[in-house]
Amino acid sequence: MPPVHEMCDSPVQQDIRYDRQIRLWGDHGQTALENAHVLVCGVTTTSCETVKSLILPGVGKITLIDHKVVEKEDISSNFFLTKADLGRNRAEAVLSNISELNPSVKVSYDDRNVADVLASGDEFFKKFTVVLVSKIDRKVRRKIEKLLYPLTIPVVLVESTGMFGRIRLLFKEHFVLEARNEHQVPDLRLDNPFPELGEYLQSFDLEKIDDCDHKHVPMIVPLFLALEEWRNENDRRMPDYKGKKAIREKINRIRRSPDEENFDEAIAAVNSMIYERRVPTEIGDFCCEVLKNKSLTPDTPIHWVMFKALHDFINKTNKLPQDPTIPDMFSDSKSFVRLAKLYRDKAQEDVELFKKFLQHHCSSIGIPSPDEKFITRFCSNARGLRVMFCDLDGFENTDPELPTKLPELLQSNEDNLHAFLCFEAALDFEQQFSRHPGTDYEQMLDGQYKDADRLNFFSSKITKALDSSFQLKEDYIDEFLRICGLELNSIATYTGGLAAQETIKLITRQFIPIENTAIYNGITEELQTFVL
Amino acid sequence: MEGHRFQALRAYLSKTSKLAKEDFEASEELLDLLQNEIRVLIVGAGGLGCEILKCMALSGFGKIDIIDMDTIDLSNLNRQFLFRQKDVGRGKADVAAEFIMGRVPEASVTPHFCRIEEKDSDFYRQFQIVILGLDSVQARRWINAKMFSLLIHDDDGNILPQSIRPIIDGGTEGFRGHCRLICPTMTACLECNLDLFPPQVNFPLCTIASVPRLPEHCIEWSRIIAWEEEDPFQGEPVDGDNFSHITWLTEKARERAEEFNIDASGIDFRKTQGVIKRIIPAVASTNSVIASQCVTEAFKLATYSFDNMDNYSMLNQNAGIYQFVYPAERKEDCVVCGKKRRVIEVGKEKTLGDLIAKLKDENELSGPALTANIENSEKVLFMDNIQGTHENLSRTLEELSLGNQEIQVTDKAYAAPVTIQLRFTGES
Repeated sequence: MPPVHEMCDSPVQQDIRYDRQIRLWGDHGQTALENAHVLVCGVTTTSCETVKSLILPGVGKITLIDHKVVEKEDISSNFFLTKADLGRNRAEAVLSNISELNPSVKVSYDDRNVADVLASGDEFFKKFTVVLVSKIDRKVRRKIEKLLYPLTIPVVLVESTGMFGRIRLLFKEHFVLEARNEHQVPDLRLDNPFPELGEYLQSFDLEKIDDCDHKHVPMIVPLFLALEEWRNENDRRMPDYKGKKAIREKINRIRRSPDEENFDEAIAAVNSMIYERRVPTEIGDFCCEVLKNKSLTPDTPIHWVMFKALHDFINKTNKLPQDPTIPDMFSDSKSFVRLAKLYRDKAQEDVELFKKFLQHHCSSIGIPSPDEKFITRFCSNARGLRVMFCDLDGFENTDPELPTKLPELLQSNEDNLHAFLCFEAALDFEQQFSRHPGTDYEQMLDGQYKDADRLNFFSSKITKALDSSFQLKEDYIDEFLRICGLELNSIATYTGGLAAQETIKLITRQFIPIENTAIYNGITEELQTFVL
Repeated sequence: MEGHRFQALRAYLSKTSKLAKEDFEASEELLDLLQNEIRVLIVGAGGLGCEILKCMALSGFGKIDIIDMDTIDLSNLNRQFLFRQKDVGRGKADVAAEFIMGRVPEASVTPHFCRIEEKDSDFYRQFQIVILGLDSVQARRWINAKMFSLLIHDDDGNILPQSIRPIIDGGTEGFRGHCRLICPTMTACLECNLDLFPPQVNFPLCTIASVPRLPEHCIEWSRIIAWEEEDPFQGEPVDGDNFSHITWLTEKARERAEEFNIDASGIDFRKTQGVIKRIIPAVASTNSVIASQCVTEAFKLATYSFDNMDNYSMLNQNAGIYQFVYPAERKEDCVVCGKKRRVIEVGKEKTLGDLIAKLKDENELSGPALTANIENSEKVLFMDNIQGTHENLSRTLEELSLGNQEIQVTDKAYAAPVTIQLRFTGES
């Protein structure tokens, strides 16, 4: 049955369609996604599965480029193809089944060889937000990496063969604005409250108030007062493990009944919420990173300008901007609301100060100040800000004479790295012989598969092992020869799903992406990540 | 066999390798087994179900049943990819089956647009593997108990292998998920570690009624209290999918927030609906990952090609990607799969009502009925709809002669009754 071309959603319908995911990355994350243009080089089952999980949430535009035709391995595993597509160009063949997943997304195809596109100039690639590559020639992949690296356009490798899958992120730098760290400690400032907070907390007289008020005092009050008492008895030090025990005892002594939930909360909070609030070293490092560089220009990514302003802020106040959110705690309405407002107001005050520094830098560079909401997010997420870097030569050296890092990693006996190498060797094998390893029907030579030797040969070339006794583990070669290049739908879907979410992390600048490579072994159900 | 979609898959299954299971029997016929002989049931045709069905069909499985009682909603379309705008309102199982059979005619998919409880044991007996893509603990427990009730013991007390039907259970929430393998008699079952499921979010009534602090409290207040008092829609109960209902509740919640000086800027339609319906955020990608993992394990079971994972995998993609497999342990006295009888110790002076409260609390039951075999006759101790049994609630367990008795407990949570052993404290 031919696909029915549905109308695009109205804005209200879009809101409903995307409701469940907007609860994760917000309207601004959704907007970032809708403004993104993703290029997919190599239309494999795995890259199609990745694209599916980008189209469904509403990525703006997708371009599929592939010069190859649909073969029996493709129809065996690809949901977007049927028998009727054998022999057709792969990008063209999947187009209508892929694009009907979401009528709001613009999907286009290109049946040229991406090597030819590269040869004719760079402009084609510069318009994309992220570029996915899947089972393309290694030399061509390398050229794309080298082209996009200085432009800070990330390249995401996503492939699967048989029971194995792999993902690799490669970018010069990636700025994470909202890490949304699940384990972020609240920013309560008990070690050094700002004046309004200190005043408010000290205003409580826990001895004088009646029983009802006592059980409704927000836990931060007894927590703070017990901390202060201990510090006054101990040269204003911050408590260590023994000190915290003493503080818990102090809190226990002033509670009036065993069912005061707020006091339970206060005791539970002693361990995690009493700490010295310092600027995390990584944040300090990012700030210094900026200062190391030459002066900022209109082309400098905006986050570096923000870090410069942050550096000024830290110099002036010795702190990071206040996080406006506080954890929920049992309390009467009035006190909690008052408390929440105190932190929110302080955060706003810090944003205003930060803006002054930022404005100064923006003016001297000659660029407009960024969006108000962006600035507010930067400040409230200050403790989790992160810039991630990848080494362009992490796996392959720009100087082909130098060895790669892989043999070092292989020394640690990580089996799954052997699978990684098989992927690489198989690509070179296919480039040379125009067939998958394991498909040579005169394959036996003295009881050994000839293709096994060939795979070994390619892998040695890749690693340029100085130690000539280096061998790919036989088990992995054996499995790759058995697979003959076939993707398995469930493994492709698994790998594609993970890769799609990593891509969304890069586009939205929310949540922390992997650093930077992941290998999935479906046989052992292991997922390993490592830096390459 | 030229021209068959799964030609390449057939070739793969006809070879073995050093990484395959030791006793894997590679064969040209393995694909035929998947296509024609193995019957699989997929429970749920939502975010996980659609993906499980698609992966199963593309993995060579040819005889699939899928069951789901829900209809399609617009908010499903960001991840339930077998459905389109034009399908909104139709049964999920029906549309999913139609779509897959259209795209993958090699698979025969039989839909069941109904509740799982409406199917009898003969229905469930047809399947060799059951895969769960559910979003409710209750449904999971029911299926778990049902599949365990199908186990057949021989005269020596051993279980007949052909009555063992593995369950693969998947679950997702945001960027987190799990996939676990339940092999009756071998691994933990779903009832063994109920505490793995996060508890339902509920706010204390006194907070909602008198000391709200958060927007959520204001929203719950409007649902529980304002709705009761003002009856804005002529006796209709709150419907989380009704646009006017949610709009009314949002307005009331904002008023309440303003009254208590709570920041109302975050109280919008989406926030309100999220609280009222206890909405769990969901994306396509996490569903793909968990669903496909379930299918990979099913594929291994059906083809015997690789060892299955042992036995519980957890995924968290919030920061980096973290996946971890660990062996969930069987509980010896699990009421569903335990080898030992669950013993409940309680004072003989306690009433039947006390016992029921204890059972409810410890086993997360909603409304258990109890029967016992006393002096060779089956006695109904308590069943809510039998008026005569209500007086037993205030009688003591000693009065009811229940010392050392086996008691059968029936509850919505269990597909089949479970038996516990009662023991009076202080007595052996």
